[in-house]
Formats: sequence, structure tokens, C-alpha cells
Amino acid sequence: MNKWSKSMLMFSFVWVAACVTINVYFPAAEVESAAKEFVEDVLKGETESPNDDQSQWMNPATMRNVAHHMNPINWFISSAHAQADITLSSPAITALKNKMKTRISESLRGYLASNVVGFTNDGFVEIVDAGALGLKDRQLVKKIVADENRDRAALYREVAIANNHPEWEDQIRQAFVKQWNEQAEAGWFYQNADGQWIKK
Amino acid sequence: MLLICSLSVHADERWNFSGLTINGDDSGVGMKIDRISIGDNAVSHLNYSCPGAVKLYPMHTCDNAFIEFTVNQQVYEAILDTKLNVIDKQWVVKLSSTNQQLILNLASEQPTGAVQLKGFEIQNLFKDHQNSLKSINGIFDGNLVTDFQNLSAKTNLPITFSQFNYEYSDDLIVADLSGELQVNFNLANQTLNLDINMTAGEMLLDELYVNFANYPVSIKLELTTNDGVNYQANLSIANKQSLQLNARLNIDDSFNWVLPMVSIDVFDSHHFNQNILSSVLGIYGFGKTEMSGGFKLMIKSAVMPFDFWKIQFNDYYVLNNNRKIQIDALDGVVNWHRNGLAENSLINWDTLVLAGMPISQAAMAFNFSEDHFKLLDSHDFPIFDGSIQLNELTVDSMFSSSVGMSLNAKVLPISLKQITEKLGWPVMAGTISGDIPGMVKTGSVIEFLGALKLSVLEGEMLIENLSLERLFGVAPVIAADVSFELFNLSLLTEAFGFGEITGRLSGVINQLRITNWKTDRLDAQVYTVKTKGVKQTISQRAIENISSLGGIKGAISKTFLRFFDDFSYQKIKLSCKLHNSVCLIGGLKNQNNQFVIVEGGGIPKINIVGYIRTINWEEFMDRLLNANYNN
Repeated sequence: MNKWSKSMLMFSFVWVAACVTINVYFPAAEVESAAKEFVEDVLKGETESPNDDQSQWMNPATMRNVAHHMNPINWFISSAHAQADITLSSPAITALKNKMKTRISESLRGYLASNVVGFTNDGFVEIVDAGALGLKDRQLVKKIVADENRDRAALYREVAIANNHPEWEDQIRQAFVKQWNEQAEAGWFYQNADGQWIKK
Repeated sequence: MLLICSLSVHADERWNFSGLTINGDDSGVGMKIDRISIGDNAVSHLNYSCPGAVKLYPMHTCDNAFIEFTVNQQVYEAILDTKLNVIDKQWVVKLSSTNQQLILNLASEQPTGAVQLKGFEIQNLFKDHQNSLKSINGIFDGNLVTDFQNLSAKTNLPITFSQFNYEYSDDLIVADLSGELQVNFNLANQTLNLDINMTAGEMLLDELYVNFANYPVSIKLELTTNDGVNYQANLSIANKQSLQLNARLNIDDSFNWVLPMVSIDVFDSHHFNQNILSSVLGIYGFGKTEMSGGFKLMIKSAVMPFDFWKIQFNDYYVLNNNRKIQIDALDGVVNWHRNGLAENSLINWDTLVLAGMPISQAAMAFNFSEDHFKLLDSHDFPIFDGSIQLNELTVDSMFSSSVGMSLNAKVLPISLKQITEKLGWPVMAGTISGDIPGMVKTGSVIEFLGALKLSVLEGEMLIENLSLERLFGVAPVIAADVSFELFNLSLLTEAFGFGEITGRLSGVINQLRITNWKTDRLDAQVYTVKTKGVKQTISQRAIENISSLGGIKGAISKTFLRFFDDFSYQKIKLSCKLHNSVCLIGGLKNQNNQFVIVEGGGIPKINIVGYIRTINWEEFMDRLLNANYNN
């Protein structure tokens, strides 16, 4: 093999080695695990102050907080402790979780237990049968379901963004579907893949 | 059925009957007729029995007779009191349902009859229906006068009803309704006038809930026809305190609505909101909205149903603190044409607050046709001592998931002092001004096209890839890539009371994401830029404050350096990569866990060195907010 041929062979190896395709796969197990933890926490339903509104924005304390976050001077640091917890924690996810926990404690758990509301197969909640409720309560449960679904829609998006992959939103939602259904309490309704309501 | 029989009795048509059997003894008399027909109406299996030994002919008088007959395969039973003179063709009849809830009084000499309802359970009328009417029930009391010559029926006094329930579907239910009604029905003219006052009970219509005890409603319906095929209906629904709804619609022979017109006048929106609207808005995430003043909605139909919309505001006020929306003294008219060019719209307000930012008194002229919105002419919307100048604004595909916005706008200089005061920020000097690029809305995300250029703190700021997500919804998000050049560091540090640092500051904040008004993530670095004619000094207080954030109190004041007010520096640089609440910190010379934030210059030379590269953001902010800058 002459020198030129050897060179070509080596170049070919280098060329092949250089053509590497990196595939990023959806980390189903990790997301499922995170979803499991999240759903467990929400269904525990500890009451916390919900903070879904923007009224705090104009409060001086909150605005000072925002201002400081935006102020480069405020990034000067010295020896504050680090807590590098990189699980699903962001202000949005935490706020959403707190709201959902409060809601499950205050109202949603009762409606789930009485089969007025069930978990749908797309990661949301839906009214299954409100026939036993008075009319005012039927309207109230519509509000609760709408509030919960707004929070869940925001949650799935925020989780995807927190993982740096907004395009994973649907897969993350599906991971949550599994967890909502698995962790539903006995007697609650959930929807199977065909859309039928199943009593757990 | 009784009414039909009554009408038939008084009609001048010939009776036909077959299968007549009469029998009688001391215990009573009886009569059976297999079939009676009067015109198109037929009664079969009529069975009449009268207790006691009474005559049937030529005069017959009986109390508590029992009559049973079949009409359209439905068997009816009734109690009958009769006085009959066959020869003179005179008779008086009192026909009662077996439970005495419905009584019909007829006399041959009277062209009218009287129907009495005594606790009449309306479900008896529908018990054999196979459709949703089965779910109707309710109790009615009152009188109805029937006129057999004019083929009409009406009430002279209101009929009261109570415990009225009806469930058409999960989305249309009334329960425990009480009130009164008056009716005037004319079969010959085919007209119907109906007045209903609902004073108690509830209704759920999709998302609309009404408690009639709190919000009594009057309904008037006039139904007329010219040809007996097509009907015109005028409907009025009113609440004395806040609502007048008028609707006019045509109904064709297939019971379809044709070209309806509706006007809804909410003349006291505070009352209307408290009783009706607030709970509906709550479902859409706008609960606890306050309002006052009035608005009037008019919907007309030309080519298609409901294609012309017009809403007129009258001193209308709305406030939602949760969503930071407020409108004071809104007046004007908004026109919308669903299928063509609408008339131009014009509104004005005293104050408009959007996302917390107040826009002073202004007017806006625009055209809203189909799914296009176009601002007419150039508009100035004053904000504090400056304004936002909208030279052009068009919005296309407004009702699609992807909304396009073309925008030509400028921020004319607004004092930072007033903005920061309003927002509760530390007061800053300078102005903000610049160009606002176009926008596009996809789903709940509004993205700004191009860059937003602002003049701030004597420097320039460029905001790129700016997007707003769920701005009026849950966990609102602001995302952007920000870069800035040559900020006056003295103005900045003065505003924050951190201790003066002079110099010019540049930097980038990439992938900035503020969620729920808290910084969620960023990849930022800021650094000073040596600029001719600008001193680079850092005050003793600024150094103390920086040091105190690390838990060190009096870093300088305990040394001889306390005799110096400020110190020169060569360069300041700091970077932070924030993700999942953890900030990875860097500075000028990043080596292992060590980095330089401030590189001193001159004598004495002070360097500030950081040793912890990762920090919990919230903890850091807690320390920062608890720092006492005034000390």
C-alpha cells in the first residue's frame, strides 16, 4: 500500500469518525419519575397559599424583588451556600404545584371522590357526572375544572421548558397522564385510552 | 285535551258517533260510545257512569259522574258534574280531573269556558311523552278563560307556579322555579302573548347561573304569524335593576331561527356583574372582576345569523386586580362585521391599565371587520410624561391560533423615575424611549418580531426574541434576550442605593425568562467598559455591601482602608447562568471555584474575589433583600 493509499484510508476513517449523529431521546424514565414525585406531592394536597394572580406585581416588595433580580449589581456574591437541586423546580412549576395542592385539598379531592370529576386520558380533568350537585355547585365545579386545566396546561409546558425541550410537552403530558391514573385513589374515575371512564 | 274537546263542542260541526250503549238501574246509569268524531277530532271508548237512579232523557243531572275516554291512544279519566236538557239543547258541565287539580267549566249558553288549576302538576300533561319533556314538573294555580267563538284562551289574573323543574340537558336546567305567568293565546290568529315573572329558583344555562331570588327576571314573548307557516317572535327578558334584553326573530316552518336580532342593555353593570357575570368570568380565570357603568350589545343579522355586532360603552369601569387590568370611564362604540366591512369604531377612556401599566386619557379609532383589526391613523397613548406612538397597527387572523400583528410604534421618552416609582422599583433617573417591532401571537404566546430598542440610563438596550406567554393567565411568562451598552453605572447604583460605582456597564442577558414575575432562568454576563472621560471608581459602601452579601460585615471599615471613600478599579465582570433556581457564577478570571468580580486599579488596590461558583438563587435574593443599604 503506497503512501497515498494509506493517507486516503486514514482520511476515510477520520471522515467516518467525524460524521457522528447525536440523537437526543426523550428521557421517559426520568420524566416519569419526576412526574410521579410531582403527582404524589400534589395529591397529598397540603394547603399552601395559591399565588396565581398578578396583583403582587405592583406591590413594592415584589417589585423590589423583581428589580433586584434584574439588577446586575445584585449578582455580586461571596460565600452564599449553593443548593444545586436540579429536579423540576422553577418559580412557575412551584407556583403551579402550590395552587394544585391547595385546590385538591379545598375542593377537587371531594369532587374526585364523589365521581363528579375524573382524570382524562390527555392529562386534564373533566366533569363526569354533576347530576348530584345543585346548580350553583355545578357552575362552581366548572370553574374548578377550568382552573385546574389551565394550571395543568401551563405545568406541562413549564416542565418541558425547565428541561430545555419545549418540544417534549406532549410526551411530558403523557408521562403525567400515567401518573395521574396510577395514583388516583380507589373509587376515582379516570379515562382509558378509548375515552371510557373507569372506576379505580 | 280538555280544551280541544271544549272547542270542538262549540264548533258548528256535525257530531258522528257509533256503538252507543245505554244501561241503567237503581245503582246508577251508564253510557258507552265506541267512537265520537267531530271534524278531524275523534274520541273513542267513551265510558260514562253516573251513580244513583237518575234519568238520562230528556233531562239529565248528575254530580260526581265518572267519564273515561281515549284520544290518540291516551286514556283520560275525569269527574263530571252535568246538567243536560236534550230538548232545549242546554247544558252545564263541570269536568274535573280525578285528583281535582284541573277543572273545566262549560255551559251551552256561554261562549267562554273557565279552566281552573288547583295545584295542578304539569308533569301529568307529559307523563306519556317519550322525549325530554318527561323531566318537566311543577305546580300551577290559577284560572284560564277560554273563548270558543274566537278560539282563544287567556288569563285575567296571573297563574302562579312553583317547584318548577326542567332538565333539557346537563347544560340547560331550571330548578325550583317560582313565579307567575299570564298568557293570551288565539288559535284563529295564531298569536301567543306570554308574560312570565320568575322570582325564585335557579337556572344553569351552560356556564351561566342565575338565582332568580337574587335576580328576578321578567320574560315577555309575543308570537305572531301572517301566513300560519312562518312566525315572528318578539322576546324581552328584563331585570329591573340592570338588564333589558330584546330579541326579534323569525321562525320558519321547520322551527329554524331566521335573521335574529338581539339587543342587550346592561345599564347597571355592577349589579349585573354581581349576580350574573362574575361567576362566568371566574370560569375563564377573571374572577373577582369589578365593574360599574353600562354597556349595550346589539347583534343583527343580514346575510347570516348574527353577522353585525355593536357594543356601546357608557361610562364603563372595569377592574381586575389579579390580572392587572383596569379601565376608567370607557365610552364609545365598537362595531364588528363578521362577513364584511364594518363601520369604524371609536372608544375613549380616562385611564386604561394593562399589565399594570397606566395609559392616560386617550381615544382610539379603529376598524374591526371579519378577523382583521386596523388602527385608523396614528395614535399617541400617553404614559406618564411620555407616550407610546402607534403609527400603524394591524392584526390579522384574530380568531386563529396564529395571529399576525404588524406594528409601527415608538416609545417617546418616558421618565424612568415615574415608571420605577409606579412599579415600586428603586427610583431611577433617565428616560426610556425606542422602537417597538411587530408581533405575532401563536396560541397563548405573543412574540415580538425584530428587536425592541430602548435608550436607558444614558446607554442603549436591545431586547430581542421578546415573547409574552399567558400574559393574563396563570404563571405569566416574559422571555427575551437582552443586551445593553454603556449604562451609566453611577445612575444605576444610585437608584438601588447600593453604594456608588462609577463607570460604564455593558452586558448580555440571554435566555431571560421571568415567570410569575420571578426570574426563572438567564444566562448573563455584565462587565464594565473603559470609556474615555469616565472615571472607574467603587465606593467603600459598595464594597461593604458586596462583602456583606457573603456574610462579611465591615470588610473595610475594620481596616485602615476605611479612610478611603472610594477606590479605582480596572474592570468589573460578573456572569450568572441561572437554571432550576441555581445560579452558576463567574467573573473575570474563572479558575476552579475562584473568580474575580472586581479587579482593582491604582493604590490601594482592592480585588473582590468569589469562591463559590453555584448559589441558590432564592437564598441569594433573600440575603440581598435583607441587606441594609442605608446603613
